[in-house]
Amino acid sequence: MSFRRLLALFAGVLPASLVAVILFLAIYSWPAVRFNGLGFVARTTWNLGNTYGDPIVRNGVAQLPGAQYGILFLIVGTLLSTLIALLLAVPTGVGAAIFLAEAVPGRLRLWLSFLVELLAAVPSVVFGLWGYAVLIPLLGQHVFPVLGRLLGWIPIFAPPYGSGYGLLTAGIVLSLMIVPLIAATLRDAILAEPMVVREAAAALGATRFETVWKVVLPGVRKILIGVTILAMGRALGETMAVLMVSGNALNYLPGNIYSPISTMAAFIVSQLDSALQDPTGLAVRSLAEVALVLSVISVGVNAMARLVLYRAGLRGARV
Amino acid sequence: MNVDSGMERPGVAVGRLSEQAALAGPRISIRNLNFFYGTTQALKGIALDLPDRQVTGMIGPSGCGKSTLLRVLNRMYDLYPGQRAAGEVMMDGQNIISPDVDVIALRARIGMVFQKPTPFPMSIHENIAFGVRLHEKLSKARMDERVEQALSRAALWDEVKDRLGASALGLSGGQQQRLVIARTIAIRPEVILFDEPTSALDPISTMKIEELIDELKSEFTIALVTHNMQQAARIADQVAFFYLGELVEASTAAQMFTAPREKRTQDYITGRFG
Repeated sequence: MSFRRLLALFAGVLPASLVAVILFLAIYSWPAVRFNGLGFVARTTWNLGNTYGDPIVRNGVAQLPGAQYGILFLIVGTLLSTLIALLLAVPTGVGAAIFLAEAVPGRLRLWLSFLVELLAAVPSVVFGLWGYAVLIPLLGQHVFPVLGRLLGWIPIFAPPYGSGYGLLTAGIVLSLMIVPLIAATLRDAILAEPMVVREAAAALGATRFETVWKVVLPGVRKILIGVTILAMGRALGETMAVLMVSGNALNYLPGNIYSPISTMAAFIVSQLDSALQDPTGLAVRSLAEVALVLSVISVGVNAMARLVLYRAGLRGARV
Repeated sequence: MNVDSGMERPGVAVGRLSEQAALAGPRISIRNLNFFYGTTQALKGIALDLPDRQVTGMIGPSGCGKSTLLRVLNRMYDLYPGQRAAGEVMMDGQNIISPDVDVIALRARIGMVFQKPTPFPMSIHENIAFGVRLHEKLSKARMDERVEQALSRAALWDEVKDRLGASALGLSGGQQQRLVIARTIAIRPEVILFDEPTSALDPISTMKIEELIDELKSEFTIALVTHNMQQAARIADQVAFFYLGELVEASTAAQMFTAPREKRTQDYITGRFG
């Protein structure tokens, strides 16, 4: 085999594995897809059925009596926790990027940027443990009641406050995990904006702040959109940290911002063990269907982000 | 006018005196101006007047300090720590390089056009309105009026009037440069600094910009840095020749290009170096 073909083989493995994973999920979850139908994404019941009962076969699918699977509560939990994470992370990331690019002198910028990027290197389980040990008692006992008093007139901020596990906590932990991605990418983009454009704004009498806010930032708008979508992809699929702070709600739609939730990714981990109790295998295959839905959403979101970033001229975006 | 009166040849001096009458009184007077990039001195004891509502062309080889001088006049060097100016740049009785000058207000009075066109990533209309808004609060109607005036004055209105909302980044290089000029004059400055405004443009666009500058001098005092001697000859009333951070000589364009006083000037304009 020639060297070139060998390289082509290596390169070909990557797209092939993406197709293989999606294909595997589709095939493996097929009995569940047939059993659950479209109601899968519209129902809020995840019920294995009577695990002591005898399996029955209906429409060619072996199942436990009373089994029903719906993941609306997971989709809602995933989307809402991601939304909260973005609402917190985008302003913070933009602020940090502007600060790092514009307000910090050279050497200090290097060190601060280094620290911001190291934040991205912290394993998610560490964020989860920190959230569990520090954030949850702090939020549950001190912050949530204050938030409720101040913003309680908005229904989603009104009590009950719960235990500290829940939607807002998950969103905060997620936002910490995606802020470095936004801050570092945007900082590089801001630094890459030509100095002469800043000078042109200054020459018109713009202050430094006006220059950055009204001229430099509009210039990197597309990159901000792209990296936000990329961060969204990351937040949608984040598993361990969310699992540890979300409260693992089952069959329950959040009533306010403090409600326990679960997300698709966290749910797969937390339910795998009990799903194996189903002798028909339908529960595991339904979990695979959750994974399929999550993969399609994540791959789609990431593809969109790459496309936006590519169009914005930023080829080598970080993952 | 140049106060440097070192070693003039007698025959030339007469011609210079007769031409001097063509130059107007000074709008800006520079005296004993020194400028430093860190420890490197880039301007040495400059003395020069910019005549009111006339064009002063600044020529000289790269690194001679002519662009540095422009960046002193609107305090652009303030953006960079480590750069500093000392001396006198008087405008309306005020030394504009003194630290207590309001730089923002100064830049509203002294506009600048750069070598590379610098449209902002926004619409054509917004490019103009952005600068105006920094200094004035105008109603929408008056802003539209101001934008139209500025674009007309910069000979760009007819080309863009149907797409004011389109991105300025889609304009051609020459159009972008006229947009930048429009943006500058929309603020109604008194002085406009041009830093090699046509060096990135094709000949036709260059001609349009030159015509424009020639026309703008009825209203504005203009300083024009150029590498193009013909350009200086075509549109400058006064020409200043810089070499190694010094002002070698300044006189009317006619004198500079027909009978320069200094040998270094003659060598430069006849193409012996630079």
